Amino acid sequence: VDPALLFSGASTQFSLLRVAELTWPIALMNQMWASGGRWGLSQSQYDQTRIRSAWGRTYTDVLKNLNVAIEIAQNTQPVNKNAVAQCKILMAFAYAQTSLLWGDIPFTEAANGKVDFPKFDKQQDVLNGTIALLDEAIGLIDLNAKGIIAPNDLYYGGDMAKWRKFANSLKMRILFSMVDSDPTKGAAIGQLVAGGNMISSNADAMLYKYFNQPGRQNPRFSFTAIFRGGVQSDWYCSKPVYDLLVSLKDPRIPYFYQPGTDAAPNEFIALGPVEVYTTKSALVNMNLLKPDLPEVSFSYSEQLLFEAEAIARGFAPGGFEAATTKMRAGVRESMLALGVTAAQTDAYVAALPALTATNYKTVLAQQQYLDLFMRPIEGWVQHRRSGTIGQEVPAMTTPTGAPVAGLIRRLLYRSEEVNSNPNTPSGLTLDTPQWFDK
Amino acid sequence: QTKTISGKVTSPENEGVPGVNVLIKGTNVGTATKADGTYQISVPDKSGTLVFSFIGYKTADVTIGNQSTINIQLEADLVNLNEVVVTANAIVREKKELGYAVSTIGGAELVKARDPNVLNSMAGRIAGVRISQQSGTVGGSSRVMIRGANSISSSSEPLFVVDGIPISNSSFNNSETDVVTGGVDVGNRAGDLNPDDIETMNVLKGAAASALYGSRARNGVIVITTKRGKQGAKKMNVTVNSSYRTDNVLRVPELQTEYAQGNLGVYNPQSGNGWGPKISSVTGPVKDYKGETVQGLQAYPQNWKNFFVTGHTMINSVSLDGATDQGDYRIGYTNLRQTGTVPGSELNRNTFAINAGKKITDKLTSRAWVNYVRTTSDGRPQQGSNTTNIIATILAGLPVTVDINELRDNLFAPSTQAVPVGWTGDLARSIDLNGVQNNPYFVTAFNRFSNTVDRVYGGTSLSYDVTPWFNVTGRVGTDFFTENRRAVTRKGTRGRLNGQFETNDIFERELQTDILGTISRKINTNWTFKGIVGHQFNQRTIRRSRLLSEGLNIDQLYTFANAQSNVPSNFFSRRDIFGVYGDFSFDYKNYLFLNVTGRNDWSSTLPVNNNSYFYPSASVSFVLTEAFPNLGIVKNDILSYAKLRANYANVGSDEDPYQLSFTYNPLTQASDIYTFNILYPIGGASAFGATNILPPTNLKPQQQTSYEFGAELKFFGGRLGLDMTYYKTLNYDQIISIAIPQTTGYSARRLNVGEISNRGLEAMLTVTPFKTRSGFRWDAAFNFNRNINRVESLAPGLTEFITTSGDGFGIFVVARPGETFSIQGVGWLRDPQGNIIINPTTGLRTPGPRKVFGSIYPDWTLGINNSFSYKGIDFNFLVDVRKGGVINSQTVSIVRGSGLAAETAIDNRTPFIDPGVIRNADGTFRPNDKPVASIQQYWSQLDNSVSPENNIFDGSYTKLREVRIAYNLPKSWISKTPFGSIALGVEGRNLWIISSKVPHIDPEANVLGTGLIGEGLERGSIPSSRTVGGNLRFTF
Repeated sequence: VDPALLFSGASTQFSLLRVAELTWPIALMNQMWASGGRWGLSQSQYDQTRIRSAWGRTYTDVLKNLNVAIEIAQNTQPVNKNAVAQCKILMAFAYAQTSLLWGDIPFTEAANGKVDFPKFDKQQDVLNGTIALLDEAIGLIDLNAKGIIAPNDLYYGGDMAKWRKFANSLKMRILFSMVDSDPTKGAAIGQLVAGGNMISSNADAMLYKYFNQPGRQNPRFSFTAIFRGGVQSDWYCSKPVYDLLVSLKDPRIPYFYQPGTDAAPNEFIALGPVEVYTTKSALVNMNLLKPDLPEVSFSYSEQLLFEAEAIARGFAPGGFEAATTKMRAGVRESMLALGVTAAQTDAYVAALPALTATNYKTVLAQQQYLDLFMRPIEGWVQHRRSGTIGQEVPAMTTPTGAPVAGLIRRLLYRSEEVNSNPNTPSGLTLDTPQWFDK
Repeated sequence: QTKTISGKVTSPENEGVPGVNVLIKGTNVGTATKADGTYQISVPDKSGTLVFSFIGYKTADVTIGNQSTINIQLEADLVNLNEVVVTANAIVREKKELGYAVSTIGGAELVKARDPNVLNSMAGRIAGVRISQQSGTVGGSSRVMIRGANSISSSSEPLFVVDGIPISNSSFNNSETDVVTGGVDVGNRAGDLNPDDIETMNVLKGAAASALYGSRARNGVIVITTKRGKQGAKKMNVTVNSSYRTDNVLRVPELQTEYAQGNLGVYNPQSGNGWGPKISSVTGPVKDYKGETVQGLQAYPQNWKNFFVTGHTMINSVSLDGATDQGDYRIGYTNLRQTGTVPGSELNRNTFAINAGKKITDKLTSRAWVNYVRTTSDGRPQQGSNTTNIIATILAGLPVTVDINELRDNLFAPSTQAVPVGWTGDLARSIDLNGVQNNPYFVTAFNRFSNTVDRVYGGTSLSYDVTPWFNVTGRVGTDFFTENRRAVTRKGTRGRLNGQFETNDIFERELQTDILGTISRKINTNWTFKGIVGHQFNQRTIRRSRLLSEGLNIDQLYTFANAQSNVPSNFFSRRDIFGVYGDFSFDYKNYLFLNVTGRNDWSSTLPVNNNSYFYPSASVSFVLTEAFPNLGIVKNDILSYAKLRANYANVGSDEDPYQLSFTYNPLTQASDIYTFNILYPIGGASAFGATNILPPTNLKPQQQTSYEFGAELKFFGGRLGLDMTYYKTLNYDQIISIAIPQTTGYSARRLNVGEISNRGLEAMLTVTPFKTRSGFRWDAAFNFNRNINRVESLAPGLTEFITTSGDGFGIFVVARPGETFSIQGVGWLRDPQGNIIINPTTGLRTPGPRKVFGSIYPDWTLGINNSFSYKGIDFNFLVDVRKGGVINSQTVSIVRGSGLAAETAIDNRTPFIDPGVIRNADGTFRPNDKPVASIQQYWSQLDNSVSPENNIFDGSYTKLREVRIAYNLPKSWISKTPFGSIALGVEGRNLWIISSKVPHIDPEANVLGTGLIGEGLERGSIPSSRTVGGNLRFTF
């Protein structure tokens, strides 16, 4: 089998999990969106029963198939180095994501069928391992040769220059998730910023495209279409996010949300985590659930905001003035991508406070969180790393009736793994912080 | 000098008995009675004795003396020493020879109360055989399990054999996804068998009975012999049998009638529940579910009952048959037309059967038989979960203020009201303004599943007597069918707004050839030898293609070109087995029988260097009463018959084809746990995936060994009988896919591991408490079975094996070493005394660790059959008892969670204190004193998937399975008519749940079909039917 065919399957499956199964429970558990008690999923219970297949499918359908593809690509003559690189980059992405959701995960012994009971590697080792994977991949990239191309490369159509940019940006994202627990990563971030060659325009963004054809639509659209007759009635406006927007006088409110059917025009009523919806409750805007919206794996605005953070934290040179500029550029891209008018955007961006040593943590984290509004996986990582425990931005409290005292900080290992792999760590609760979460 | 004796042989009912052997004692001279029971025979002198013998009656000796007319009334032989049964490969054996347990149901039993699926007629009649129906769907499937589950990972269905040729019992709806997420019960292929064409059904329960059939027989064999032409008074016998039956749903949930839809007592017309205010408190103008203003609300408590309709079944059959010394023939035709309890569901079946034999020469005989079955069905409902087409789920969320008749009437006359705000459909399609839930009548009218099965099975055989003691028989048979399915979903259906349809073509063929030689020789006066040596070839082919067409441009036009996307998939498999076998019996003085068998198979599905396996069996049968006829108790007929039997058998078996290599599979879709999948190609890209099951390296055949001991005892001339068997079966080296951590990149590894055992006791007690000279008779039969199923071991390091997962509902069917298959899930947290720990802030229960709720199998089952007969009137009733085992009912959970079940309305919904305890700060417990915040929260929590504990019920029940009255009109009444016999019958099946611990539903309901492991999971099942009907049967 051509590795390209395995790659398209692995990437489609990976994107589907990101955009569907991992989106809703995580967005609800983390108060990014509200459930209003509507979806049969108890938001305050940190109910993980709706994340059933992501763990297994990531290993069997994504990572295993990428491993097999790498093996095939390495055994063909001449070796298809670019294909190996593309597979390794996607693997690094998948391992990092899985670790940031679950913590310690099988990495070194995983997804190759050789070890029956893969050991669970420490999160720190997994994340360092993904960085090593990315370095290997970057080393293999040959801009003059072809790897996996269109149509099987559903992200970049075989443009290896863009793959290299994404690999570097992803590396930076992983480093940022580590730097609070491992301060040495600051220097690595600085080197990356200095080296450039990261995502530098919207055209470089890592996107998995969906199409307005049956069976190829963004599943966020299909969900509403299939279960609710096209009427969005499941994802509500969550109070912590809404309060943040209000406090910032943020023009994104009508872009993020739509009023409830019985609410007045422009009347947005947010729900707390244990509140039951009414016909007046505001909902996540249908415009964000369109059938042909791509799944965003890495955006240009995210890149700019990371660079702003790198500068503000002193990992890269330039001082707060440069950091402020980067932040404003990032917020601008974020808002334009949402469809906010240029005039509103510019006014808002100009009014953003200049970053200082005292405010940068909050101001920047607020914007980074809002930038990830439709990307709950990254949004959750952002929230956990935005401050020490209890000091996250935006502020959130444990919902009444939650099974643990704190906010949810990890997913629990699936029973299939617990029951079949004696190496599965035990004794963890939903609010046990992960290694990176300081 | 010779003289002629004539006379008539009559039955205890005073009717002439045809075919009785009349023999002059000590000679070979004899004759047989004619159709009216009369005979004529020339005898050499008057000192002789005439012997009258016939199966089922006691042999009578009459001294001739001076008589020229000898009329005799035969006595029924309850001991029935000469009963014959058909065993492996259409070989007829005397029952007393057999060293293993066999149960027989005569064809007459099957047509007295006919069930469209003949398997259901076995329920409660045979010890050790369990029949469970999946649903009340027309043509729905029935699962048969004999002596417990034999496999951890595949189904334990017995093998079906008709006239020596195995037939398919597949159903092709057995993937877990198909079943759990909104599947249709498409029936099982053994359901195609026509009761009117069946002469006998023999159930060979153990592996010893069936070593000659090969591996598949390890789960038991159901051996069916079809009817053949019989010699009668006329050249041709004509039999007509007509039945008419009605079906009604046996049990629907009991609903509350007091509360409207809403939330926490506040009325919301768009909610699909009963959590609103009291209906009586809603007065004055208020909007109803359609958005129309009404003056107050009203309850419609009969919505479930009104939705289901009365189903009608007509079964008409006619057969012609006849026989001479030179040959026999039978032609049968049966038509079955059935409408189901779900509106618009129907089934038609036409069966043609031909069976003819011809004696070509004295030594050469031939036989050919063909059955053609055509089944069409339409409108089978979906069951399970996850689609908005599940009828039972729709009904379980229908507010009591909605009149279901209005939904029905609106279907073709949609509301003419102005479209309210938020309205996305009309009442024709949905039952709420948000267009979330489909109108059930829309589903039954437009979203239809239809299928057509064309099936032919039959064979031909040629038999040659080389010498009087050596016979060679060749036989070729086949069973093949095509099934075409189409499931359409109309545009505008909630959940599938763009419409879709799925086309599914299935072809399956089984081919078998046998050549066997039979030797039957008397070695000396004491010993007789019988030997069979044979060769068998068996091939099974399956071909299947599916096409899923989504996104219709034009409504209701189900052509491929009209779909925006067509996703095809196909499947092919073929497997071959060559076998040679031998079966050798020794008979000592007709009371001690020894039998040994052996078989070697070569299977195409095992590794080439390990594909041959041999398996032997041995059995012994000893008829005590014939060995010691002079014992006092035997002489005095206290112990009339006693037989002891024992056997040992080993069976090896192969596995499914194409499991040996590392495969890459083209993918049709990427999926997550939701129902919308991403289809390939996407953006022009196709995709492949590597297998998720690591292939085996050194696969061996899997093995089963079993032994059984039994005794068959008859006392007082057969008035009391006891047939008992103890058996033990051990399955090992099972070829199963053991789940390995998915983090390995694979979900399973295929290995030879695992041991599973069944041991148990079967007992059948028959009593005739009353028998009078006037012909009144009461017979009672008790069928008891206790089976202990145990998973002995799994793969090293594996603590449990999840066979079926109802994961979305928080339940698993799990095999653990040392236990049987059990339902597990998160239970409520309990204190050391077992009291439920209550959350002191909410007053609600707290979820705890995963626990075992109970076995999916019963502890024991009992069938009690009573029959009374008097002068041609037969009255019969069958009670079926199951004790133990648990079931999980999601239907119960839904009707409770939605506040619609009757129990949610008790005590005016006053919040109460849930009995339990609260944990004190010091770790001790005090009785709960915190009332639940609301009844809605209480029941909602029990419905939540957090813990399924409250939806697990004891599966015990007692059911009145069958009642029937049959009346044979006396011959004297009809002697002047063209009729040979007339029989009338009234029948009822599945009549009454005498006791059950499961609320709201039939405790037998089960969402898992015949192909899946596990039972006891119910969700959205169509309620089972209560059937009442009549039957008229006459012969010319």
